[in-house]
Amino acid sequence: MHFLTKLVRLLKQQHEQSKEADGNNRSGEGKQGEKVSTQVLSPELKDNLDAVRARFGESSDLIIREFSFGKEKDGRKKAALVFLDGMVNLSTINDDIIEPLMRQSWLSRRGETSDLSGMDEIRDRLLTVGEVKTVYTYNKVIQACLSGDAVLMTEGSCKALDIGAKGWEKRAVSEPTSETAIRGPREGFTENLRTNTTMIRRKIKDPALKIRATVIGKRTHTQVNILYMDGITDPELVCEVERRLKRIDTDMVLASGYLEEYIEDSPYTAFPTIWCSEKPDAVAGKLLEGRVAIAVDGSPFVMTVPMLFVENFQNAEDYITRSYYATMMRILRLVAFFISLFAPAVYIALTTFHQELIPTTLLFTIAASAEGVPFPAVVEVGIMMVIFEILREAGIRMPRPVGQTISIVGALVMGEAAVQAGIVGAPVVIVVAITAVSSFAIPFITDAIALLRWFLVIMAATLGSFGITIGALIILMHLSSLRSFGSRYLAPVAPFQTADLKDTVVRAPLWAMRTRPKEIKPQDVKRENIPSPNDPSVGSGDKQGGNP
Amino acid sequence: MKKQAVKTGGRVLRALSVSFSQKCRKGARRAGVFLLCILLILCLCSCWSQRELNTLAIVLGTTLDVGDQPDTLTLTAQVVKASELGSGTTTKGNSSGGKAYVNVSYTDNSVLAAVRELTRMQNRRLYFAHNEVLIFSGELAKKDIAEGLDVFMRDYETRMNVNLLISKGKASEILDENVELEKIPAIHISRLMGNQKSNSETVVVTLRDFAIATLSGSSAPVAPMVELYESDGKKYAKLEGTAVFKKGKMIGELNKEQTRGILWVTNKAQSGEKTVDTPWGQVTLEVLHSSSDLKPVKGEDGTIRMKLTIDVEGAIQGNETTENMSIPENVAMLKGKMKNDVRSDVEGALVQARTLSADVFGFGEAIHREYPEEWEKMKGNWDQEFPKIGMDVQINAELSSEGGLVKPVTPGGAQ
Repeated sequence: MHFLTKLVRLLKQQHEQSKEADGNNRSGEGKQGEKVSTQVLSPELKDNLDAVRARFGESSDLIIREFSFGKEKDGRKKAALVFLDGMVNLSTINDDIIEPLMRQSWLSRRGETSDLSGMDEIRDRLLTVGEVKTVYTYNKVIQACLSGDAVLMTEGSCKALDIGAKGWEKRAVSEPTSETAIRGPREGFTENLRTNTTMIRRKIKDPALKIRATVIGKRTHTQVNILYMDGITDPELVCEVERRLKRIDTDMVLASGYLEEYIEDSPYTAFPTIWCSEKPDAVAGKLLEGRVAIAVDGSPFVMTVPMLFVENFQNAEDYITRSYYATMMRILRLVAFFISLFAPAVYIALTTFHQELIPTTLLFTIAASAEGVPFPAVVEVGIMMVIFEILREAGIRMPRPVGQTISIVGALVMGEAAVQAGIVGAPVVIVVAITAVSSFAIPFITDAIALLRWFLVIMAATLGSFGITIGALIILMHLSSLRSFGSRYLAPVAPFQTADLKDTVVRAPLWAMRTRPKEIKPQDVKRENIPSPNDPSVGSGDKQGGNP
Repeated sequence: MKKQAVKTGGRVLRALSVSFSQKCRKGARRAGVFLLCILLILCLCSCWSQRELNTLAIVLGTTLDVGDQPDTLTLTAQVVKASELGSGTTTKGNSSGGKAYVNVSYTDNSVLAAVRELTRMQNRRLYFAHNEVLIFSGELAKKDIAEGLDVFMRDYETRMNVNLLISKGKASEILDENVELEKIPAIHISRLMGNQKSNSETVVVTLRDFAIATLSGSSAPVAPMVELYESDGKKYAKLEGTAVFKKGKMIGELNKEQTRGILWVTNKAQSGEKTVDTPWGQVTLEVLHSSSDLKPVKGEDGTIRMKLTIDVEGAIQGNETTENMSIPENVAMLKGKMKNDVRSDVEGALVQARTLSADVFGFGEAIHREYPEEWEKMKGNWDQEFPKIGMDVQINAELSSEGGLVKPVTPGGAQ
C-alpha cells in the first residue's frame, strides 16, 4: 500500500525535476546567444572578414568587396564592403558608397587616422546615403547584411557602418484578389512591409499614426510593425499587443498567420479572433476606430485587434455604398450565415425526425426524390458535403484554368449525375448548394462554419431538432465566452451597447456614426469634425449657399 | 484496512489528475471533458424516433365506414405515391401516369386495430401527420362518431386541424372520386373546404372546432356533408348541406339555405351572392362584408330572448333588367329584398334547429356568458328549453357600390 504513495511521490519529484531541467536549458541557451551577440569587432580587418565568412559559410550570395581609399600620402586605407547579392540596390552601392569612397576620399582635408574620427568622417562627409548606423558587434553586422544593408568595415577600426542600401525584387501594388472592390480603392498590400506601412501612412497623414518595429523569429528575423493612433488607441491595448508579441519564442514567422496563432486569446476556438485584410483603406478605418494593426514582413495581410464578431459581417465596401443598401447587405450576410450553418442540419432533422413540420406539398416533392435513394438522409447530405469541400479545395489549389474545369465537372456533371443515378436526392443537392453559396457570402468565417456545420449535422442526425437546439446553444455559449484583446467578442450585441449598434445589422449613415466603438475602449470616443447634416449651423449655411 | 486502501486509491487518482493537468494545458483538458460529455450524451440516447422518408406511407385522407360485421368499422386511408407526384427529372423514369395514390382499407373492431392490421399488408408505416381530411360515413355518424373522434384527437401524430366531413353514402367512395385539377382526392376535398369562404353555404369544420362544440355540452356540433354526383359516367365529389350532431350521433341535416342561416347567426358569413327578383327581372347582389352580433336579452317577464343584429354590406354585381338600379328608390328596394333574403335564411335555419331541438347557433353558450344564474336553471333540460327561446332579428343592409356601371347595359325604363 505504501509503495503506491511512494510511487506517486517519485513521479511528482521526477516531473518537477524535468521541469527545472527544461528551464535551465532554456536560460543556458539564452546566455550563449547573448555571448555571441556581444562579441565585438576587432581592429584587424582580416579578422573581421574571416569571422563574417565563417558565419555565412560558403553562401554564394555573400559579396565582400575589398578596396582601399584615402590620400596616397597619408597611406591608403584598406576597407571592405559586405553585402548579400540580390538584397541590395546595386546603384546605391556603386554610386553612393564605393564611388565617393574611392574617388572623392582625397577631398577629406584631414587624413589623420585615430580610428573613431575616421569612421565618423566617412559617415559625415562621404556617404551620400540616407540611413547610416554605426555598429560594434559581429551579430549586428550579420543582421545588417541579412536585412539588405551594406556594411562598411575599415582597417584599424573596431566599428562598422551599417549603410541602408535595401533593394530587392518585389511585387508591385496590385488589386487584392481576396477582397474585390466595386467603388472602393483598388490597391492592396504587398509582401513588402515598408510598402504596406507606407500605404497606410498615405491614408492617414497624421503624426499620431505611430509605427513601432520589432523582430520576431530566431531564424527568420521577421520584421513586424505595430501600428496605432496615438491619442485614439487605448495605450494598454498597445502594451498588451507588444507584450504578447514579445512572448513569442519561435524560429520562424513566414506570414501573418504564424503570429496570429501565438497571440490569440483562445487558441482552441474555430472562430477568428484576429481580423485581417488585404486592403489599406480597411485597415486605416480599423486604426481610426482605435484598433491596433500588426503588419508582418512577407505577408500581404495586415492584422488588426481586437476583433468583434460583427466584423465578420462588415465589408469595406459597406461604407461607400448607400446606407440602405449596406444595411440590406448586412442582413443578407446574416441570413447567409444562418443558412450556411444550419441548412443541412435542419434538412436532416426535418426529413428524418419531424416530417410533420414540412408543408404537405413540399413533403411530396422531397419524398418523391427520396424514393429509390439507397442512403439515409444523413449519409446523402454527408456525401454531398464532402464532395463540395473537395471541389472547393481542388478549385482553390489548382491553377486557374484547371480550376474552372473542376467547377464545371463538379457542379454540372457530378450534381446532375448524382441525382440522375439515384445516389442522392435533388433536394439534398439544392440544400448543399445553397449552403455552399451562402458560406461564400461571409468569406471571413467560412472556415469556422465549415467545421461547425459538421458538428450540427451530427447533432441533428442523432437528436433531431433538439440536437440542433443544443448545438446552437453550445455555439452561442462559446461565442459569448470569447474575448479578443480585452474586448468581448459578441459586443455590442451580447453586452448590449446601444450606441454601437449603428454599425452592426444596420449600417447607419456615416454622419450618424459620431462615436467610435466603445468595446475597444478608445481614448478618444468622439470622431470629431464630422458634422451631421441635421446640425442647425451647417444646415443654415447650406441654405444660404443654395439660395443667394 | 479497506478504508485505508480507498483513501490511498483516491490520493493516487488525485495525484495523477494533478500531474495530468500540469502536463496538459487547461484548455485541452477542458476540451477533452467536453468531448467526453458529448460522447456520453450520444451513448445515452438513440435515434429511436428517426424514420427515413422512404419508409413512410404518407396518409392524406382517412374515411371511416360501418363494417360488415356488427361492432366493426372500416378504415380507409389514402396514401400518396410520391414517385407519381414528384416533378422534374427524378421521377421521369418511374412515373407511369397512373394514379398518384393508393387507398388501403381494413375492417376491425377499432381504428387502431385496423391501423395495426394494415401493417401486415403494407411495407411502410402509415403516417398520419399530414392527414388533411377525415370523412365519416353518414351511416356511421348516425350510429356513433365518438370512437373515431377519440383516436384522432388523442394521438400525437394526427392533427386537430384536419377537415371533418360527413358523407352521404359510403365514405370510402369519396376518396375514389375522379379528380381533374388535383392529383389526389383528399387534397381536392381539403382545398375545396378552403374555397368555401366565397359562397357562405358550407360550414368549414376542423376536428378541433368539432371537439370544442362537443365539449360545450349545450351546443350541437355541425359538420359539412359531402356527396358524389355523376357526370359523363364519372363520379365527382361536391359539398352539400350540413350534418347536425347531438350526443355523438348525427340527428339531422340542414340544406344549403339553412346552412347559410347558421353562418349569418354565428358571424361566419363572409361573402356570397344573392339573386333577387324585381318587377323588371333579376338583379344579382354580392355580399361584400357582413357581421352579426348575437345577444341574449331578458324580457320584463323574465324570459330570455335572443337578439340578433346583422350588418350586411352588398354591391350590385349583375343587372339583367333595363332599369337603372342606382336611383334611390331602386336602391332602397334592393336593400329591402336583401334584408328579406337574409331574414328568410336565418328563420329557415331556426325552424329546422327547433324541430331537431339542436342548438346549432350556440344560444346556450351566449346565455351562459350573459346570464349565468338563469343558465344554471335552464341547462338541466336545455333540449326542451331551446325550441322555446325566441329570437328577434334586426338586419341593417347597405348597398355601397354598383360596380363600374351606373346605368344598365340595355337602356330603357326609368332613367
